Amino acid sequence: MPAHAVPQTGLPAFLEKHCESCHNPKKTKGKVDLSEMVNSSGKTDSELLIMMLDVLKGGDMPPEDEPQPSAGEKAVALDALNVLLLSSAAAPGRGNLVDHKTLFTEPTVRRAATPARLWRMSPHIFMQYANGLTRSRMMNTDGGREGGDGMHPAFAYMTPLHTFRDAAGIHLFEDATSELLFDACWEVAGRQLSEKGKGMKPKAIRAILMANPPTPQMWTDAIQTQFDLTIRREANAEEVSGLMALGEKTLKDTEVVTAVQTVLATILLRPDAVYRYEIGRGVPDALGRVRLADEEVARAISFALTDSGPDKEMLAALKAGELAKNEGVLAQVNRLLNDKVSQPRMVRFFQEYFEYPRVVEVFKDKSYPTFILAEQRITDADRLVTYILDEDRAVLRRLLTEDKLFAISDGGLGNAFFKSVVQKSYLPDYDIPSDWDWKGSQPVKPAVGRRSGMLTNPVWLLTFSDNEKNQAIQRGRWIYMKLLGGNIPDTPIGVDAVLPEAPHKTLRERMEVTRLEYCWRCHQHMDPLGLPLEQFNDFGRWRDTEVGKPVVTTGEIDIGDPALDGPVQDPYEMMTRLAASERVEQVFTRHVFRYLLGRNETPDDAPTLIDAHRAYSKAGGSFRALVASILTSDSFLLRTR
Amino acid sequence: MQPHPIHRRHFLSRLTLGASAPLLGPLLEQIAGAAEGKLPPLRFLFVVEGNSLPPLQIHPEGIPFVERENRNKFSDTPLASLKLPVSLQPVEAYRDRLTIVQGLSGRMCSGGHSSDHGTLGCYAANNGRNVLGATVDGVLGTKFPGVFRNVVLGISSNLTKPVDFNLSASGPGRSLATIYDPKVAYSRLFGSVADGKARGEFVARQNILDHMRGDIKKAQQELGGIEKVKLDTYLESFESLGTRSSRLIELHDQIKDVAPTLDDKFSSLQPTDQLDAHFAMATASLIGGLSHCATIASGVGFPNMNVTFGGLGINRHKHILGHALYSKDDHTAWVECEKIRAFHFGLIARTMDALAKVPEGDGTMLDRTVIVYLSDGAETHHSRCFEWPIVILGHGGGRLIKGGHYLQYPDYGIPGHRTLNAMFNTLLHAAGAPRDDFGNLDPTLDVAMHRGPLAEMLA
Repeated sequence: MPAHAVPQTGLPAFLEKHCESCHNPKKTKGKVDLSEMVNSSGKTDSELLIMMLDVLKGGDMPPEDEPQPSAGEKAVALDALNVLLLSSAAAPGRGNLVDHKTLFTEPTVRRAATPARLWRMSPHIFMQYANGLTRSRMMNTDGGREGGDGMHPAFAYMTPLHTFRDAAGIHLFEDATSELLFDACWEVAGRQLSEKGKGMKPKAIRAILMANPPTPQMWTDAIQTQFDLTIRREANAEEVSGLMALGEKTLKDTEVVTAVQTVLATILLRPDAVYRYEIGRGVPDALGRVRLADEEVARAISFALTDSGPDKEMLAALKAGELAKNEGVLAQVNRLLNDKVSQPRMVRFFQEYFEYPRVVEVFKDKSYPTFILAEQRITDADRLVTYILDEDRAVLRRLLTEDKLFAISDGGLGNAFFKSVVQKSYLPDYDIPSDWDWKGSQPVKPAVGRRSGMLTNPVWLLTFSDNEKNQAIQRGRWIYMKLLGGNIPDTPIGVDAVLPEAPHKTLRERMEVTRLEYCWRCHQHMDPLGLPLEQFNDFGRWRDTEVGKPVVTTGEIDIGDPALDGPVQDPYEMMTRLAASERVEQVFTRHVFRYLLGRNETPDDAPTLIDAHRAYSKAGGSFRALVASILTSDSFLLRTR
Repeated sequence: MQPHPIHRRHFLSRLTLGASAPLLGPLLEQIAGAAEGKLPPLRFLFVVEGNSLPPLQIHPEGIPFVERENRNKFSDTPLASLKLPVSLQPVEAYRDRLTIVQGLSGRMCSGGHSSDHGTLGCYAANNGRNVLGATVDGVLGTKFPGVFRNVVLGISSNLTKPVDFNLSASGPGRSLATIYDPKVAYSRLFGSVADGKARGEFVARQNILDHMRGDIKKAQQELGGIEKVKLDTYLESFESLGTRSSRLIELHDQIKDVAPTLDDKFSSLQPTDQLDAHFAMATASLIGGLSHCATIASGVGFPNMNVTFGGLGINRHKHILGHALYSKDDHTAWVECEKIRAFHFGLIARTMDALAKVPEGDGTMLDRTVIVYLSDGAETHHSRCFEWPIVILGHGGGRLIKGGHYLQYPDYGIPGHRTLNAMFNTLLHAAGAPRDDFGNLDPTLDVAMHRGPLAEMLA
């Protein structure tokens, strides 16, 4: 029985008896109203659930002077809350709600699989696909880091901030996006027929455009060609005749070219063209799981590692039946992983995990936005990632501790203006002297201060800063959620989440307002992790003073893991401890899983995560081994219905 | 989080009109109503200008400006003897239809640079990521649909971005698209009256819509319930597009009369031109009955707000202006913002002129139109939403007060204080879709401050 189907007996009764007398719409003590949960146990606000679990577990509620629930009552309520939380845990950004220990404990029965699904084509995939079909750069392939430039809005990423963008569960075509999709497919079909674009149009297309009127055979050939290019299979007789009728009907009102465009666009709009089918085929096993059909495997692997469909070698393996076995799948996965073709999508994992492409959104009053050179910072960070990925040893550890960095790694200083901006604004933030000799090899160690991996990289620090200060809280939140696997609810409505203006105070001093009991409940998890990074200013530059006072970099890790917990003196001690932690590696594994599967992990995925983490460790911290393990797992290859 | 399914198919099955026509019911009612001499629903135009409306910029000369903290009681001052501020001077001719509302709060929204969907929805939209419910224009569009439920047009700092999902919503998780590219908007709204090749394409596209419905139904059968919501939603959207396409053809003559001329402004990369084109289309849509609710999103949300109004001789973008707005030594940003605002009100005045020329009932279309102007960033660049200035033009067929008022509500939390929710309740009451609890609550305020319409605004 799936976890979320467990009956939720007792929770409404418990809430009514112990909670509602204070947390009702009239009193809303602590700004909490539980009346809706009492009336309908299906109403789940995950933020509220987390808070309730916290206070119930910790014995903070009900207050001491109120009647206390029995141990049995409390256990029932906690169970029910946990069940509700698990269903919330499927939402992007809420994956950490699943208990970490459960995910790394071998279950009695290995039952990992993914529900059969349709996964909307991502904007990145659509970009490649549209450019390929039209033999043009219909869409800008240079941009597109943040879902804006180059991405088609019909495929907008609707996922929340801080999450992996291509979540399978939440993306669909509804009124607004279907209309945009319609326009996009119409345009693609139009370009398929136009003279624009590189290379020759397919033979069948050329033939039908020359005809007036086209013969049934010409229609059939054009339709088959379009099926081959888009659906990757032959059209059946019914499909051909339907589409031919559509073409002929349209021809009554239009020229041949428009009638052909109509037919081609219709094929592009088919559900199996815009959605990736992951249904599975064959006889279910004892646990009701079927394996993806071989052609589904070919597409799933290709799209997990690249933005394109199966290449020639993959199609050959498919034809040879090699993808029916995990060894065959592994061979293809390794082939792609060892090829540069998979690099963009692997780098994108790190971009989305560390979130540094968001640097383009940072506004700095005192420094005109373009002087931040946001795009340059992203390029340099990407370079650091590929440098570490190429060596593929102790990947996570190095990403957290590397003391070197890249600066203007893609070449010289170009024109005099660019050079002056780099010398004035960029290099100082990287603690590299302005007269630095560019001919030296990179990465380099900064001349001043010290760095320790991506979280001390100027791009990351700038990303997590705002107009005038570091975002120590957001930084702490990132570490707590993405390295330690904790969960922080969104800022509650009605909280005045603004730090006081106090130009003579350090940020640490200004943040003392978060120590109020109501705030500290969440801020205790974030602030002590973010504050060691006060070692750097809000442009990412190393410093030893802040507003004229010696900079204070102390903090604390507290996640309930003896290997991690305890105070830290500075970011270096913190990063070293995090980098050596097995838990941190496991949390990282959970994130790679989410990226590749397009969904959050569930307790059933424990075997996949255990194997993947083991593969990573065994191979000396090899990211490729980690990815290969996940892509050959039951979670990836098996489906339930 | 699964997207919320639309249960329009249930609705369809109950519809005796046959045909897969989700919008046909309300539309036919309206057509039947018109034949009986009934008037169409009230029209609404929402104009949301990005990144703050400082209360002083809509404060008339002739009465002292009271800072928020010192507003102890509600006041209603006639505008008659006062001089309108620079921003509002373009609507001088309509001052008897003008109501300026100061002092509503909106702390249930996220604040900051923009409250995004929360602006018209009254909730914390978290940079547009959490679309928690329908926005007020979404509610109006759904309740009183034209051929299009809503027409949402806008501009962005990214002048080549065709579309965004940044302001309006028809329901939880369902952001409406804001169309930025005037050409895309034109073909969608007025494509059916185009000539020659464009006309052929219109027919071709309609044929695709018909065919697609069959394809999707077949896929539904083959998949037998897998990902039902995704396929149902896909089918519904094609049904809705098909119906709309047919309606556009039926209304050919009516649309042809109102369609704006496709001039250079539609392909311009000047924000002023694009805004001009969008206002022209919004106005034509309202007059032609394409929609009863239009929304203009002028640089809404971050970073869309960073628009540079070069066409007005302003050479820095609105983010820079927002920071420079309160400089004590340099007043230029303030003046530039007034200029931009006045430009918006100039376009609003043009829309009002056009509506005033079309007779309807005993008066004109303008008599039955309400224009609402506000910012997504409440009162200041980094807003905390303690006050949210709003300008209303039009009395909505006499359901709202006539105009000529300067209303000032007591400060946040003080008895008599009201919130943005109440303003939207008021509009919904006027429209004939009364709501007393629109949007989310600010937990630090009495529920009553959010609830019901603003009594002072209703006629």
